[in-house]
Amino acid sequence: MFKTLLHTILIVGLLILSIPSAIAQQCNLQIKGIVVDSHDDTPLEASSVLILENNLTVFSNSKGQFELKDLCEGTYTLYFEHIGCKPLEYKVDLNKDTTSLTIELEHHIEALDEVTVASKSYLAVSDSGVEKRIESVAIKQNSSLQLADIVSKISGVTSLSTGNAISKPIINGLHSSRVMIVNNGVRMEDQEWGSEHAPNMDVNTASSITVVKGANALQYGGDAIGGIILAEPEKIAFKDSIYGRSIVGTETNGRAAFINSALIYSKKNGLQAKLQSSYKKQGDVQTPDYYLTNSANEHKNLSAYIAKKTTHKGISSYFSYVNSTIGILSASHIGDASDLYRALNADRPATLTDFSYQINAPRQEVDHLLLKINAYSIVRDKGKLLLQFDYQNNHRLEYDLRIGDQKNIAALDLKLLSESLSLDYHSYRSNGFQFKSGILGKYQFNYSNPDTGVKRLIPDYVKLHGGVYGIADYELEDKSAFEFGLRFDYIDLKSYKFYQKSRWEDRGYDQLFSDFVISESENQVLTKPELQFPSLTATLGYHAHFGSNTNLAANITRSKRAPNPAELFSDGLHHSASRIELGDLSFNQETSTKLSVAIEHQSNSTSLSIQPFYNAIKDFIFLRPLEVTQTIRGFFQVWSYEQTKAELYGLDLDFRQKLTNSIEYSSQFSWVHATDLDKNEALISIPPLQFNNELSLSDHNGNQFGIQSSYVGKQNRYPDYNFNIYIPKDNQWKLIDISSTPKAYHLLGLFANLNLSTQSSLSIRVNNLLNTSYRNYLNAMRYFSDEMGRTITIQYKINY
Amino acid sequence: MKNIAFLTSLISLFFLNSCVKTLEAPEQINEEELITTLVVSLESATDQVELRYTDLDGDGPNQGVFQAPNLKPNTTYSGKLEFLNESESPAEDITLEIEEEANDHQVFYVVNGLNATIEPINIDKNGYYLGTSFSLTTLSPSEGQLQFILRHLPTKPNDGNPATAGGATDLSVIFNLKITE
Repeated sequence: MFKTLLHTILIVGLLILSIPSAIAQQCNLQIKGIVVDSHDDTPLEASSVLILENNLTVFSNSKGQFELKDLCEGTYTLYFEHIGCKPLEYKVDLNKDTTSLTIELEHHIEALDEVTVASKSYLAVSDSGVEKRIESVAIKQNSSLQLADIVSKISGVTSLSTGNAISKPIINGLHSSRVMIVNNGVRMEDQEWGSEHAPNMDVNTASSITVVKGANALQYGGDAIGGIILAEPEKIAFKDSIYGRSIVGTETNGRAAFINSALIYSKKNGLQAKLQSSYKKQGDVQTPDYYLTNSANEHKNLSAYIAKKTTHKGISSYFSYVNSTIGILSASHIGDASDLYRALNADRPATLTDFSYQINAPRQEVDHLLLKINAYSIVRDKGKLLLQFDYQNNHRLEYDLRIGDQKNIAALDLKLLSESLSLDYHSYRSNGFQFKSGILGKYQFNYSNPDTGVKRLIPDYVKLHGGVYGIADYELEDKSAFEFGLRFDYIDLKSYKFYQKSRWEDRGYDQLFSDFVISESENQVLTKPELQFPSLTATLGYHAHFGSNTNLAANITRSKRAPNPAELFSDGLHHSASRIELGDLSFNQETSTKLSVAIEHQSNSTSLSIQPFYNAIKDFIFLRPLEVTQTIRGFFQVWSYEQTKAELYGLDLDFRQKLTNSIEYSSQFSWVHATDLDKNEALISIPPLQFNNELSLSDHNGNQFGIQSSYVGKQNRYPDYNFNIYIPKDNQWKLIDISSTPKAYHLLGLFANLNLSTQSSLSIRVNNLLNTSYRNYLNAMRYFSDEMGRTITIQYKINY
Repeated sequence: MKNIAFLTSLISLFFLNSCVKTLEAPEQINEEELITTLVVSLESATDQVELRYTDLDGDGPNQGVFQAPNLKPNTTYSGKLEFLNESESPAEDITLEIEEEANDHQVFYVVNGLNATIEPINIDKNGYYLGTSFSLTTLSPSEGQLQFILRHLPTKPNDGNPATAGGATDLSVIFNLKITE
């Protein structure tokens, strides 16, 4: 029974309704229909309907409806496709005016033959935005990876990392607070401002991950000027069953082991439950020449979901707990700039050790608890009303190398609590119109534990956030559509912050913000900054079909992002970067105007997608070196957050070509050009040009073998932030070259996926096949060590 | 719709009753490990000198203050280092913690331009140098720099060269000195 459940996709039913008609005319016949989800009859938007005989394609609207016009008498084969569903071929004899169809597509439990990245740019999230998606199969085949590493398989997406176990996604050159991550309908609030703070979610909880390259999906928020990552859970069928799967595996590099299991229970009456858990432990990883001391890490995750759904309403609750302990490369624990000088001029870390599973200081221990309750109701068949409450608690501990009694006390201990309540209404399309609207209230509290005995990096604060939006979309006769959205947000931020008296005066705050002062002690000033950020975001989009297989989507969005706590309040030494970082209380919001376009052509054997973008950002907030200061700890560069006018433009390309029935070639290309227009120099940390190619061989049983090539260029556009320090030993001023970028590199990889039986499969991946030594511009550890050498990952998956 | 109404009230209750904390004035943190002051006491049979560097605001913008009197030529000084946190009162002596964890620390010396030699004296539990006490021998009159570097977790044993000994710098102070009659 489970076999049928898991490995064959059931087509629950096909229903043909015929409307009798007396006259049969030539070539003005039509087929009308609706595509629905077989489980709960919800209409499936953006399903493609292809007539195989003449290659004509149309798409279903938000009510799932589609229309094929001006057809001649005869027999046609219709081919229905929808993301997450098994495609369906359907033959129809056309001999009367109008033929009406109801097509039921079943969402996969396991999408065996789906491609890694869907190539359509205008899927469900918004009508005109540029979107790409990673499907269930790809996520399961990469069960041990982090979110950023999985989404960086999409063109235009790269990852910003701190060592091998901390990485966060960059979309079209932007990251951190500019990229919103929505996990199972909940916007992640996990101190995302820090470049060494990875998103606290386990990819194994997601069934698909969509990247929206822009802020146009206003229903999630107005400040994602880089883009949005949406991780969505799997859909569970309305039937009586219980099934599960486990993935176990190992990675040679770091001698890692990982396991992920999920158990799903469902009833025909709409009761559903899922329990999922995963664990990974990795020791010190290895470059081609040496072990990276203290790069070991451990990740745990537990999630549970329970829901009661019917066709018209439902209630569900979701819980997830993620815990990570991540070692930070020992060699990166440095003191002053002379240590940085030594690291930069050595080809490897000064201290090398043998392999170990031990995670010592410096390390991060982060846990994240997420709780969500949501309910929906279909209102008079006109739309869907959704109510959601979510609670998140993020606790971050960072341990440093300390002395004496402080040895086992974290140097940073932050608890971020967030709660939000939202009400949304999504209408179905009627007379071409569709709209979405909603309102959101959010409360956030940050607590910085004083027991650390270290100055607070992020102060205690309360943030209240209210938002309201409306998005309307109008579809014309020819299926082209316009989209228009507006969103208003209001943020109120109240904080208590201690400043060193010297800093408070040096920054001129004693003149500018004397109102904020609560009390003063001998060397510190207690202040209570109260800041408000109202913002209006607007989006306008258009999408059209030219001929049967060419589409255009274009979107322009103006969005605003309020400065984050690090940008406002930073004031002190950032240990891992060996620099002093200063925020600025007087910052405005960033305002981005982004134009993104996707032109796509798709035929049976070829698909091509070209996605240019242009993003102009006023008051762009970034760190720039201000001066070099000499302290008792040595020389340090002082970096201050500044605002400038920034311009980013670039191009993403995806190409896929079926060479034969079993051989497929695909390639991706991403390029970003970013400039600080005020200073007329390049922006720092912009991903270099990247070009990926893949050749894969597959048979009809789903077995797959492939070779991958990944070329990453040298970033030739970078600002010169170098500085000089005096080194008495050499009696010389020495240049500290922190700006130069690493050489270009090329990596090869292999992968094989074998279906051992209907229940089990084996995947093998080899990364960095040739064991190439290289450094990555977007890894903060590039000053200290090479990247990981060859890694072989073997994983076995079993369904039950 | 009844469900929804029920849920809303449930959530509102939850939202209002629990977990909403009010912002209160936090307690001030005085960094305990902060080294604000390096005191170098030099003593010979005929002379007594104290070098001192003080930077009370740590990584703050104020510049530190040096006190570096002249040294006598052809003299052997026995030297002792003290690391203090003077932002607290009374000042905390961090030297004790460093000496307790001698295995994890070492002081390195750099002499540039001065006609002088400097050698560590005290050792850790493994018999390797800690160097918070040392011996400084001055020769002919000259001018130059004397740098003290405190490293956390250097490779031990080492040849006393800070460029190759690894570890992270906890303190680095350069004194401009004169050896004169």
